[in-house]
Amino acid sequence: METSSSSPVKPRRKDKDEDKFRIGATLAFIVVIIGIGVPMWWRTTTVYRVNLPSTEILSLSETPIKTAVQVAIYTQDTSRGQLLIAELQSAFSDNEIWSVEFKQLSPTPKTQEAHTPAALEKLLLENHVQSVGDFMFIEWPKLQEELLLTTERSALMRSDTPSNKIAQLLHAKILQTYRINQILSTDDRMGAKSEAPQPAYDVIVSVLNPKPRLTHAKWNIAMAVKTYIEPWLAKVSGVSNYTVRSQWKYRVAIEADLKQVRDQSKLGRHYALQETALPHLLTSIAQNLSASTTDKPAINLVVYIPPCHIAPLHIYNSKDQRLTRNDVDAFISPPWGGFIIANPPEHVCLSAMSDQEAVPYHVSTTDNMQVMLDQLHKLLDISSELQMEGVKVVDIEQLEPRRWEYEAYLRRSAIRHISTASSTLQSLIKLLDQISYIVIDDEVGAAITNSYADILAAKAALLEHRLADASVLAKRAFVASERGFFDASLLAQLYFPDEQKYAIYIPLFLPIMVPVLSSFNMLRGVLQARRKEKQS
Amino acid sequence: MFNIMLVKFVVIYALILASCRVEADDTSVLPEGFVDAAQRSTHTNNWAVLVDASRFWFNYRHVANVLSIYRSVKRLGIPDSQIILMIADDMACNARNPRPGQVYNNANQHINVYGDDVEVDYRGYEVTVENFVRLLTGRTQNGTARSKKLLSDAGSNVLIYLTGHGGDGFLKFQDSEEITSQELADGIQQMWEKKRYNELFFMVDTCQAASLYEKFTSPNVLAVASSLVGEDSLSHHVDPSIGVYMIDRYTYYALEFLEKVQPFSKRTIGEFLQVCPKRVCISTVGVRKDLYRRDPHKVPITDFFGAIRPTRVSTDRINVTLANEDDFIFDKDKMVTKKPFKIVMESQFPSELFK
Repeated sequence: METSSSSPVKPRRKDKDEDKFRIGATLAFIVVIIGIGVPMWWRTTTVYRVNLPSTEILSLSETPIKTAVQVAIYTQDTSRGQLLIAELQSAFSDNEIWSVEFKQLSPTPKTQEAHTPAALEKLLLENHVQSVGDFMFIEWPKLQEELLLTTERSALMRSDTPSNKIAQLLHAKILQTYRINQILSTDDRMGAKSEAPQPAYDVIVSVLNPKPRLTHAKWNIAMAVKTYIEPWLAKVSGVSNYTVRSQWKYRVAIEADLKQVRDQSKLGRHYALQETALPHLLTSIAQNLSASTTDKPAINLVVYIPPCHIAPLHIYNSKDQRLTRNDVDAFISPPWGGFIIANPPEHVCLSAMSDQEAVPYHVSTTDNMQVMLDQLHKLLDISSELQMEGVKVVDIEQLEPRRWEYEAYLRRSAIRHISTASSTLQSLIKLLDQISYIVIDDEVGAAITNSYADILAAKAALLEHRLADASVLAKRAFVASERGFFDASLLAQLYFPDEQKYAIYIPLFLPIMVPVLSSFNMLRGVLQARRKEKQS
Repeated sequence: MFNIMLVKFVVIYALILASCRVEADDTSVLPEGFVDAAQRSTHTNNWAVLVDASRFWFNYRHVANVLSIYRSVKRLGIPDSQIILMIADDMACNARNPRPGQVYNNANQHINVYGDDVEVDYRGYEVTVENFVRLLTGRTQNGTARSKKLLSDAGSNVLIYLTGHGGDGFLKFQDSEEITSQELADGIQQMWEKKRYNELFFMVDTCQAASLYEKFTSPNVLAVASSLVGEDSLSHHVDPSIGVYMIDRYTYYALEFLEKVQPFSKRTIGEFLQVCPKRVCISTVGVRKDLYRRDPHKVPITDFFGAIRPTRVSTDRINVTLANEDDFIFDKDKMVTKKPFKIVMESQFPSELFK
């Protein structure tokens, strides 16, 4: 008994019997509150987050996006071919973006006899298989230009075309290195400001006839769109899907200051639309084109029929020069769309001027559709408009883009999608560290993980010379990453930030915690007492 | 002889003059051009998010505030599809408004800021902290209309204008909840990380407005607030015929300035930051420039309040002809003029019988 009297707690004999129960009760409280309650509180109030491959995603940018391309070169003289290839190989040897494989096609008796470049190309392709994104240079001594780009995956070159010209052409037109650099640039001032291609677009073809009573314009626009626009879009839908709509809009006037200009025509005047007024003009009509009725981004293609009192209408620049070329007055504003001014024929306006009854007329389909197709090439960013000295490009004659242009577009879009998806995932991971209330549920987690896997697969496909696969994978990675980043469920805990976790529960827990914590002191006393008892 | 001398002298003088001018041009053009290039904005489109967070008739002035900015950005060229307008209450059609359908910025009823067409994207009880944060971060609920989304990209200059009742570090929404400065900073940080703006101009007119931008860390943000922490923002004046305060001081002077700006104006953001000196505003206007890279005195105000839309004349065509023009003639049969018909008048009275 002496030992126990020296302990800080001095239980009397009666208390000592109750000690057992007291300790038992205290332990039970401790187990319930600290063993079960606290972990439960912690678990139920933590923001739900699926495990993500964070470190892997953050290290995505360590492996650069590298693309493999095969370029075949056919020369009539084997030694020249070898020389060209050696020079080109050294030019592309330490390139960070491209791994170009040059392949020599040696002449055969048959190829020596080919009479036309097309026949030669056909012969060469019998033995040499080109896959998507490949390219071929064919020597054709009688060529006038140094290089002639065809509409397929080939270019003709003269016998004296130097290798640096070929390298230049590859960089500028076929691989479009400067644009890839722009995409991959991390500098936010110099980097590309345009957006990655979206998975789906609405193409809205609108014909504006502001004064339908005075201008009897007739046109089967639906049919024209079905004949020209839809088949063309079907050919380029490798990256995005397009839905086409056409509509007539009456009484939608443009807002612009028009200036009358005297001229030699029968009407004696035309009207000048200043180039600087074009953005405002688009703003004034954009509201009435009902482009916002769908959830997809829209590409607007507008054919505007000026009423006779302001027709013919031509675009002028700030130096007062008329910008009409090939009888076309049109402009584009990427990514919004294009605008064509379809002036009514002279005789229609002549009779309108002399107050006669309005003459019905037909809007020319070929004229407008040809311009519209060119606008679409530019708006979708398929055409390569860079001019090079000594290089000529064959005009498009079918309803599809040039194959090398389209494949460069596929390649560029794939790289674009990969780099955008990587940076989206990376920024999401960074944000998860900074902002605690972001929830990552199973669905979003799966989207992110899938997107990460697709990015890796797409990169591998690019390096393994499978452009078609890479394009599909990159698009899927891009779509999944956007969905992951912008999913509404990420904000599910917006009203429940970290402060809330303490602010709401501490007042609840504290009154219970105080006796529990203070009972620790008591327990310690009892334990010490027992230890001393044993020692003695 | 003297004549020739004179001619020579004149010629030499003219030459010297001309050369001087060229020289002067050369020295001035180059560095200025260089400075310009660094100063020039790289944006490709403009967006505006305008929020009035308070409701009830006595807060008429907040609606006037937000509509003043709406009116200015719209007049300077931002299309309605790129303006997100959040108004917590409908003052123009409020039963107590003696001038239905109109909202004025001053007692003389000089400017009807309600205008002819106002497109409100979020109205009444849709104006919540959640919707605002969802709008900023782009995480809108499924089924949200495209016009209600902030679809800005890496080339967008975004103007965010907030008005309502605020305190130190928060802005009250709808008298029931508040957005904190941390939530705002987080929202903007998320926009930056996803490259959803090029530059951002943040403007607040509330009490203790400067507290709202204190926590910003994202780059390329220029912020201006009507009052510093600990200060109240004051309203401008009462219109006895309407019976409430018309507009807040800061926005009143901002609108006065913006009314003089035209689409191709040379006025700068630097000038705009000084529209309301303490003498007229009574509160001190707070400005935060440390996150912003360019010199505000060289940034045209239209970089944020105006719109840019790159256009390019393109007159090429693709020479493909797939069908004859005749195939596209619309309703061939309808075009044929109707058969002429003759109206035959039957005689009304058989007068010949009585002859």
